[in-house]
Amino acid sequence: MKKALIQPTVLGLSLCLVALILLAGFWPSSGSELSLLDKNLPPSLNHLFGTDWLGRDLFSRSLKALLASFYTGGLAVALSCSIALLLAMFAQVNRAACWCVDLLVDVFMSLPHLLLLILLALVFGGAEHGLIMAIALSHWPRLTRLLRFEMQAIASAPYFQLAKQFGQSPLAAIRRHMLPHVIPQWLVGGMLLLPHALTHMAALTFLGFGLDPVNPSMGALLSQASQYLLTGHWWLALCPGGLLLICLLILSYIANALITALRRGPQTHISGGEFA
Amino acid sequence: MLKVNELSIQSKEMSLLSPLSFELTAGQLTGVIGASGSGKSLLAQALLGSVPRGFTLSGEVSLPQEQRVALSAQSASVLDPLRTVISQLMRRVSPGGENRASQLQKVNISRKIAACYPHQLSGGMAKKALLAQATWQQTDFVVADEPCCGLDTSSATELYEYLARLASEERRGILVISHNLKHLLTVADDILVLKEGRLVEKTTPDKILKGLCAPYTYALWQAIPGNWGRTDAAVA
Amino acid sequence: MPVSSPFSMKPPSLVTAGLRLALQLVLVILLAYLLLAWSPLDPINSYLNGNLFGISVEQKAALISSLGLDQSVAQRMWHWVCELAQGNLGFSPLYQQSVFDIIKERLPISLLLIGLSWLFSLIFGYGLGLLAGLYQGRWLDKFIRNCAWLVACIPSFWLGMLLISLFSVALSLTPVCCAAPLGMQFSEQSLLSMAYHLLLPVLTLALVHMAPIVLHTREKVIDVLDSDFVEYSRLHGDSNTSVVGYHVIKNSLLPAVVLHFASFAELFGGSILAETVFNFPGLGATLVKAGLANDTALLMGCTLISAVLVFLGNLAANGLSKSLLAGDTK
Repeated sequence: MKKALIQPTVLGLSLCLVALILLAGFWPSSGSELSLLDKNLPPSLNHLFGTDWLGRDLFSRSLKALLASFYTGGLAVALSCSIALLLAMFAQVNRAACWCVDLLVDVFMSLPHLLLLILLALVFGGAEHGLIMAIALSHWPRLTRLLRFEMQAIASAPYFQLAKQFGQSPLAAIRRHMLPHVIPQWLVGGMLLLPHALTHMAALTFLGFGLDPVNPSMGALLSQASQYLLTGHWWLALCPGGLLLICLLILSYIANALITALRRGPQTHISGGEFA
Repeated sequence: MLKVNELSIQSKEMSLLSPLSFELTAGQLTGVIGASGSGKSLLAQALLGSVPRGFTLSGEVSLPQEQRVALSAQSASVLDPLRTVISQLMRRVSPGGENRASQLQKVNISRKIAACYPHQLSGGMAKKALLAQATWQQTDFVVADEPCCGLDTSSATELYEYLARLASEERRGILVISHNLKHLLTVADDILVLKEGRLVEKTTPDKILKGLCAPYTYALWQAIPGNWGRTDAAVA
Repeated sequence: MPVSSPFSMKPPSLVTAGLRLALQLVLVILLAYLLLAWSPLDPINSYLNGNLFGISVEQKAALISSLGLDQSVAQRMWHWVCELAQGNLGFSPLYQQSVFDIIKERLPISLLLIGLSWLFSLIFGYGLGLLAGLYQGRWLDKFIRNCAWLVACIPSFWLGMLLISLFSVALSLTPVCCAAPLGMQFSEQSLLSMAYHLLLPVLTLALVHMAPIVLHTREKVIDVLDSDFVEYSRLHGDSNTSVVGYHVIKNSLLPAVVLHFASFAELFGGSILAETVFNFPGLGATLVKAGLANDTALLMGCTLISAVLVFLGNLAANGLSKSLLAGDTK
């Protein structure tokens, strides 16, 4: 996996992403200054993304929104990953626990994802922390399923069963033999969760759930932009969305490269044909 | 006549089949014998132009115009798992051939078996279907790759006799790959001996039984259970 | 679909799978009800549309008992299930109609949208995947793969907005809004007008949900082309068209259809966004409005319907994968 990280494209893209986040963090303007004389300007050198109907610089607002998205998204994904790992490990205890966890995963996946998010957002009060909890509590099923699959394969492997027969307690066996194999998958799975989390957060705030009145969020920006579509102010939707899309693509690419590297494993030497 | 001239399978690192040359005559049954891994199956597939990935085929396989070769494969993986046996066999029938029922009867496949899917076939049935897949194409030459591997002795004998009939009655050239020298000795007109990808010699059953063959070939004959400990070449 | 470990004893029969799916359906509905019951939103507040001080204390007490809010959550849930069994889904304060009527009005539109998107994403997704697999390694394959990957990352609501900007505003080729011309009901318009209004939403949904099918089909087609039976066909003189028609399509189309049935849940989620962006009066948009207005009865009704839709989709996927692929080895 380290080899995959050192690949030039992956490294380059990661650096771009980090640079973008740093830029957003250190960007001086918060984009909330009104300037009614400059309202509704299309993109130009002065205003890279143009201005909105209140004259606010869209580029600054987008950067700040992106930063907020990464912050909440990152937090939510970290929480989700922890839940997934704990549940997957719990499922290894005995068959009943395994059955329960499987059922829980399937139940959570029986609803459309966005609907589940809406319900969870409502449960937690609909504000920003509600957003984090909603994302965290709805993204763990897929990762849990993946981890369960991996862990089950390892649990059936001879070396693991031997370890248990040698008298190691189940917890120690899991810690020493299972986790090292599962952690890389877990990390990469978490990385892949991040673009999904960002998209879903944008979708939720676009619909109007989980809005924070103070900080702009991507979804809120796009939701406001949708009201101005018909007046031909295309940059209000295109530019922030485009910025988000670029981040999603970078994250997706890196995660996929890591997954491919993990799947390929150690290179084998000879490959005979099927007919041989 | 099917002429093979300096046929070999090579890659940069290794050679699977060293250049070999031989001829197949219509109306004759030629056997290919050798230990496991000697390249027998590779030869069978190379005759149709198939090599493992990463290897190149050099040399030449020449046929008179209008004549074709068909392969009776070794494993049932050449059958599409989602189609019935009869559906796939019908794809191989050349127009104007005999009707379905008599063809099935010839290879001893019942209609019920023909309606099965490949994964439902027993080992023996699968071998018969694979052979039918090749013979129904009415080609002038048939290469049979281990047609009796896994069959019981009586079914194997029956199948070898069928192959012998194909050669003598229908005037087709049959090449049979086998690791079972005992059966080949009873039906083959010629025998090619392969060892580690090289052609050791081309001989006849008669010569083998008389001991007038290469030492390796003789050792293969001696390895047949029943011939153990024998040093003379009397008929088993 | 249920988790299947690589080492399970035997694959579950259709009946077992169906029962398990039904169990999931029941549990998820109960879960949804509990979530809504635990939400900190004040139902009285939403019932009165914020006009809390407009009623007296006695009227409020009467309202509480009529809404059943003085009972425990378990009692309320039991009451709701009983009402459900009689076909009564409750009353929506937001629309001042019975929930059943609202759903009856709006479900067909959503089903039409989802159904058409499902169909088109299957047809075009399979077609593109087939092409990509057949031309593996060439520029067409790379182009299709990269497009699929790109489109899979695009948020569907943003794509919808872009398409509106391009086709409706800039090019004036499609309507700017809604499911029907202004003032008309959806069912009143001509078929042509219906298609005209459905064009962009269906395009948006189909595009975004095409990617998994494209990539999955491509993998399957490559696998089939690599298989021993295709090599045998080729060695014995079968033309490419013959190989594709006889072997490739059957081995790759069925898995694609089965996979796509299981993506009903995603499509429903996508339709929530599409209906909001394109202002369609479907179930998804209603769901959002109910959520924002804290109309729990309506929200619960919509949740019920979508859970049933997902259940049906998964059931179909399970059933198909067991019956149509009967010829395949397990």
